[in-house]
Amino acid sequence: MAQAFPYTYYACDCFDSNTTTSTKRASQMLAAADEEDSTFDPQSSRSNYALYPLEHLLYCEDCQQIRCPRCIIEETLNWYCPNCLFEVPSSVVKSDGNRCTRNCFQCPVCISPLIVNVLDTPDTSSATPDRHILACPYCHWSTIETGIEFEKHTGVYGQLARIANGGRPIPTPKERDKEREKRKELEARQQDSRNPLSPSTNSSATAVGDYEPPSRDEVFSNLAAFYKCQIEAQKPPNLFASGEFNFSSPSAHSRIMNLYSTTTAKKQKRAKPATMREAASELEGLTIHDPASDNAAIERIKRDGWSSTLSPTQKLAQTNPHVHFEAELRPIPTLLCTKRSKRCRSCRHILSKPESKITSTRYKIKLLALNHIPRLSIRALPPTNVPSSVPPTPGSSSSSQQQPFSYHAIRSGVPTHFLLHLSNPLFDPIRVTLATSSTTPGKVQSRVTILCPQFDVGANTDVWDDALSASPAPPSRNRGATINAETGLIEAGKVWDKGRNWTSVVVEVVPGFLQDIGSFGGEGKRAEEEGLNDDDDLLEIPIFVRLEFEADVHADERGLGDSRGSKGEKERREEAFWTVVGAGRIKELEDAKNKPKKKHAGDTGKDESQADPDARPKKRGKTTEYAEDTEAKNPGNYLAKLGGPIAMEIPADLLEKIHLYNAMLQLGLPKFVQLPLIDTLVLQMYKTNLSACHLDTLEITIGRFYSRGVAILDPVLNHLIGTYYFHSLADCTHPEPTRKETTTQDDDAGRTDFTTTKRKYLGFADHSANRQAF
Amino acid sequence: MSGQPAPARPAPDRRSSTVPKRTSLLPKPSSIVLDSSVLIAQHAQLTGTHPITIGPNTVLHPHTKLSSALAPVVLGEGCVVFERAKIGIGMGAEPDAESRQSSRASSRNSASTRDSMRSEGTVLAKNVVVESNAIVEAAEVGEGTVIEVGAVLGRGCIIGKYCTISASSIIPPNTRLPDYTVVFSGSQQRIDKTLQLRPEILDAKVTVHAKQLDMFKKLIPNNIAKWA
Repeated sequence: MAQAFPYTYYACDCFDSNTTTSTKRASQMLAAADEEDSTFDPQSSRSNYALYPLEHLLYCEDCQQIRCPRCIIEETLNWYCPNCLFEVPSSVVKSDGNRCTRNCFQCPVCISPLIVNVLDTPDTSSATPDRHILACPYCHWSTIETGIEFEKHTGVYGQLARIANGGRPIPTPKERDKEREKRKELEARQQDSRNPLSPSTNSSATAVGDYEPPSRDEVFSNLAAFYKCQIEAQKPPNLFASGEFNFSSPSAHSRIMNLYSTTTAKKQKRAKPATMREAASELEGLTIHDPASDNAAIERIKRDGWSSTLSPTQKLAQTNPHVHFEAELRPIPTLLCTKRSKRCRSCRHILSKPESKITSTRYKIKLLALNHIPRLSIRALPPTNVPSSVPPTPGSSSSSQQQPFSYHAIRSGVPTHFLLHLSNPLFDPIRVTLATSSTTPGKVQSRVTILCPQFDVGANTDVWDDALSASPAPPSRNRGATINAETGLIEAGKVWDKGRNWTSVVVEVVPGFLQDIGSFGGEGKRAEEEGLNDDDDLLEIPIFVRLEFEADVHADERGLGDSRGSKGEKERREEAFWTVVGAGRIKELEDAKNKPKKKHAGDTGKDESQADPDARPKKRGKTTEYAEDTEAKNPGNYLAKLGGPIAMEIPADLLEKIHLYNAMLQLGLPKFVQLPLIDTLVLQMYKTNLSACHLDTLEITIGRFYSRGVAILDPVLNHLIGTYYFHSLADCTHPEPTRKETTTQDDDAGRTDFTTTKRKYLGFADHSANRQAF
Repeated sequence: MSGQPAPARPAPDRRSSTVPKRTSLLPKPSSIVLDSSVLIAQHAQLTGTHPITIGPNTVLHPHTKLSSALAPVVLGEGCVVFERAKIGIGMGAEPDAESRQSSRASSRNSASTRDSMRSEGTVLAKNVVVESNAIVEAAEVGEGTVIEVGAVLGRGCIIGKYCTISASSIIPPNTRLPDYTVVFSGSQQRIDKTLQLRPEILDAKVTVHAKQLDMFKKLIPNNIAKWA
C-alpha cells in the first residue's frame, strides 16, 4: 500500500454479512466462525477490501456499527453540470441523457472547457450574421478545424446537433423519417416495375458516384424505426394475450398461452407469429462493410500523417467512438455530476446527505466514524535517557544519537518502541482494551507486545469545561514516571501519557527477519527462498480494539424535552473492531545475504535459556541512552542490553551457538559482547556429545581464529582442545552428521585408519576412551 | 555606471543616497544596443559579456533577467518579457555565480566539441511574449510566439512562428518546432492550430499585442537611463 507511514486502517466486517446465512452450508459456516475468531490478517487478499482509513468510514447510529463504502447504498439527489452549475431535473436527465444540453462542451483533444468565441468580421455592418465558434483556450483547438460555425452564442448544443463537420446540415429525426418513408416507397415501386430482363439500375435521382455511406446517426434511426415496426408486427391483435411476449421467437410458452388465452369456443387458426427478422437493406439499417472505406482511411493516413489520427482516449470520449481522424472530431458535451446521499445497507438510515444547493458543500446529515470511533495512531517512540547517575555529556550523547527514526528502514531483531495514541471523540469516557496476537501474521513474523492493554480515555468535553472545573486538572504526566527509575525499563501496565481526551500507550515490537535463515548444514536443507512479495516487509500490526462506555440511552432525542422519559439513564455499550496499524517497513539485513553462515537469532525456543542476569554486560560507557528493557523478556538470554546495537537471543542449538561464536570472532567483536555467549556455549559443550558437525564447525573457528593471529587464550578453544581427547571415537572418525545410532555403538568397535579420513591428525587417538560423565 | 544586483533584499526606501550602492559582481555586458523606444523596468537585470541587442518597442518587466554570459542575446521588435523570466543560455542551470562559472566552463568545452550550424545565441523574433518565470535558452524563437508561464525551453531549440508553448511545458534541448505549433500537456503533445487557417485571427492578435505594448508604456516607469 503506497501510504505514508505510519498509518492506521480500520476493518469493516461487512464482507461476510452480505451473503445470507441460508446460502452457506453448515461446514462453511463453521469455517467462517473460525475465521472470525482468529486474528485478522492484513496480508490476506480479502482484507484488502475490508480495510479503510478512518476518514473513509461512516457510522450508523441505529446499527451502531461502522459502515464502509462497500456497505453503503447511494442515491442521487440531483444532477448538475460542473461547468455552468446548472441543476438539471431528473426527468430531463432521463429523457435527454446525462450530458449538459446548454453551452458546455469539452475540447475533444485536451478535454478542457470550450469557450464560445465570435469571429470578427472586418465590416462592422450587421448585414452578415455573426459567426461563432467554440475554441479551446489550452490547446487552441477550435471548431474552425472541423468547419463548424454557428450563429448564436446560446443554445449551442441544439445548433451543433444540426451541423455536421464541414458545415453540412444534419437532418432532424422528423426529416429523417420523412426521408426514409419516401425512399421506401421509391424502392417498392422500383421492385414492382422492374423488368426481369433488364439489368437493375438505380433510377433514383442521386448518381451512383455521390453515394455516401450513411452516418452513424442515420443508421441508428433506420435501425430503430425498423425494430419498432417489427415489434408492432408481433403484437397480437387481441387484448387478452399475455403481455409477456418473447418477440424474437415464438416460444412454446407464448404459444401455449396464446392457445389458452382465447376462448375455446373459437377455434381460430392462430397463425404462428412471424419471427422477427434482422435488417435486410440499408433503409432498414443494414450496413455492409465496404473495404473501400478502409482504403480511403489508409490513403488519408499516408497523406496527413500519424498526427492526424486520434488517440484511444480521444476516441472513446467522443459520442461516436468509431472515428479515426481529427477532422471527424466533435466537441464533447460535458458530463453531468451528481450529488448523492448515502444510506446504511441494512437499516436504511441516512448516513450522509448533502445540501440540495449545488454550490454549497455542506451536509445536512453527516454521520462520520470520526465522531464515533476513537482514532488510533502510531508513531515511533524516540528513545529516552535513563536517569543515571552519570549525566551524559553532550558530546557523547550526540555522537551516539541515532539518526531520526526512519519508517522505511526498521531493523530486524531490534526491539523498537512505538507510541499508540488513542483519541476519544465521544462525550463519555471510555475504557479501551487492546489485543493483538503475539506475532504478526504473514511471512515475516514480528513479535508485538502492548505494554498496557487496558486503559481509560477521557471524554471529549469542551476545553473550557476542563479549565473551569473545580478539581485542578492533573498536570501532564511526566513521561519519566512510566520508566522505572532504577532499571530504566518502561513499566508495563501504565499508560505513557494522558490528556483531556486522549491517551497514549507504548507498544514494543521486535520486527522479524525477512529471510527465514535456515541453519547451515545440520538440517541439510536451505530455507525456501521463495522471495518476498512486495509488501511482505511491511510491519503491519493487527490490533483488536474494544470500547466499553456508558452512553445516554436517548441520546438522539436530546432537546425534545428534559422531563420526558428517562434523561439521565445510561446504558452500557460496547463496541469492538479490528484495526491494522502500519508501522513501517523492515529493512533487509545487508550482511545476511553474503555470508554462508549467517547469524541466526531464532524466534523459537527460549525456554532452555540459562537465565543469568550476570551475563548481561556492564553498561558501556558511550551508549548511555539505551536504557529501556522490559521485564517481560528474559534478560539473560540476550547478548547485550536491549536497544543496543547487538541485542539478539542466544540460540538454543549448540551448532547455532558455535556459528554465532564464529561470526563474532570474525567480526572482531569486543569480548564483553561475547561473554554471555561464551558462557552458555561452554556450558552446553560440557553437556552434549559433540558430533562431527560440531567439531567441523569448531575447527573452522580455530582456523579463522588463527588466521587473525589472535591470542590463543580463548576459553572456547581451550575447552575444546582440552576435552577433544574425551570425545567418542565414533564422533571423531565419522564426519557425517549425527546419526541416531551413535549412542549405541561401542567405543571399541571399528578401529579406523585415520589417514583415510578427514581427521588425519587424530592418529594419536587410536585408543578408545570411555566417555566420562560430566 | 555600475549595475546593481536585481535581487535587492532591502526595500527601495531603505536605500539612501549617502550609502554607496553595491557594485555588482557580475560582469557587465560588453555592449548593450538599445533602441530609444525600449522600455526597461526598474529591476531588470542585463548581465553578461556578450552583446545584448534589444529591438524597438520592447518591454522588459521588472525582475527580468537577460544573461549573455555564454552567448549574445537578441530581442526583436515588440517583444514582451514578463516578470522573473530568464532569457539567455545558462539561465536554465542554477543561477549561482559559482555554478555559472562551472557551467560556462562546461559549455565552453561542449561548444568546442559541438558543431552547430547556427551561431550561438538567443534570438527572439518580433512580437514574442515570454511570460512570467519562463526560461528561454532557445536558439531562436519565431515571430509572434507566446511562451507561457513557467515554460522551459532548452538550449538550441528552434521554435517556429506563432507557436504557443503552454504553461509549465518543458522543451528538451535542440528540438525543432514547426510554425503554428502548440505544445501542451507536458512536453509530449503538439498540435497545429487554427491560426493557420484564419489569418484574420492572426491580425486580431497582432493588434491586441500592439495595444498591450501601449498599455505597458503608460504603466511601467522606464529605467532605460541606467543602461543606455
